[in-house]
Amino acid sequence: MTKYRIKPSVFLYYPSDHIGVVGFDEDSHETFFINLNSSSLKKLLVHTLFDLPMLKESFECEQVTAKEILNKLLIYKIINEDL
Amino acid sequence: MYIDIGEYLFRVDKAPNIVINNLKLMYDDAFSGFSHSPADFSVSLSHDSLLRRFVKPQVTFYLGNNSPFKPLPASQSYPVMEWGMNWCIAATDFNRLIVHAAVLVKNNKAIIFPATPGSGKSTLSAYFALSGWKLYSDEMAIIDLDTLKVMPLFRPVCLKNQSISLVKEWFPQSIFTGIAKDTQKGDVAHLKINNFAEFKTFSPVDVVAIVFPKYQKNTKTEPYMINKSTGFEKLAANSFNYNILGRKGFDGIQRLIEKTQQVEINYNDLSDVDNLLTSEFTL
Repeated sequence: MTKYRIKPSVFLYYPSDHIGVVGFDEDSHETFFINLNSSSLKKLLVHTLFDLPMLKESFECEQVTAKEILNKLLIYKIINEDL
Repeated sequence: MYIDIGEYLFRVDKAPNIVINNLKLMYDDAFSGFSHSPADFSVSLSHDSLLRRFVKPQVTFYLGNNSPFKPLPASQSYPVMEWGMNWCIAATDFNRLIVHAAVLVKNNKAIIFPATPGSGKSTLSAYFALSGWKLYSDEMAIIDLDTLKVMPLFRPVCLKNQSISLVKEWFPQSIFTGIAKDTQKGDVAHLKINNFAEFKTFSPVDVVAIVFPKYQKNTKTEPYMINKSTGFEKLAANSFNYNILGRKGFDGIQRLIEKTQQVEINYNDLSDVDNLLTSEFTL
């Protein structure tokens, strides 16, 4: 099972209204806005390493949705595969 | 001559008489021949060649020996000086968050109005500032990233096109420069709000709200709360130096968004906006 981890250069802002997440990559100076439930993402990222089932559990969603969320996090380069 | 605008000190090395006269009119005692401290910026406005003094005269703005802009018609000299001063601040201050916005203060509480298209920012600034609010800036919000307080700037309001006659009609006693025609922003005139003695009583204050106004004809004044990540996105997009500040800017906007409310307001009557904000934020 592939494991993932948050990039060490990425900092996340979880707004107190729990709508969306804002990220900042200190290496690239890029800011990104992700339409995800911030509480669920926060719950997931307390783990140093996580996999798809853990993501599915944090977001309380179906496998298909979990894969979509995972892709989104990879596209935004918030997380890396743990090699 | 020096211009003391509060947070920054400009030294004007050279400028046409029309600019000097307008600087006297707009900045009164803040424009003087003496300063206790060294200037942050040494600026000048001059004709590039003898020919350009007489044939389609043009002026060029300089910061030191560098000119950030192309020469512009001499008839636009005063706006060029003001825009040049804006550029000096926006392009060189990397210690504070600078947002393209108006800042108005009532009862020591600041509201930031970012300059989104169609906001009518300067008309709103003029109306509010001449109706009892304190104008901290018509052009840029200077936010201290440690305290998150917004700093006052002593600058006139830059009005464009129909707003000029509108404000003159609302406030017939108001003090304007002449109108510079056909600038890149249309017809432009500057409006004096405070005198320097009043301005010197202003101090840095906390921000309570970030308001994105949108002027719409025939609409009822309605506020809409926006979510915080959208507020972050819109504020960052209007910042001159967010990308340069890096993590410090990211953390600063995050903290500012958390301690304020973000509201969109559709309006067609500025007195309604004044009443709404005054009651909503108990100003």
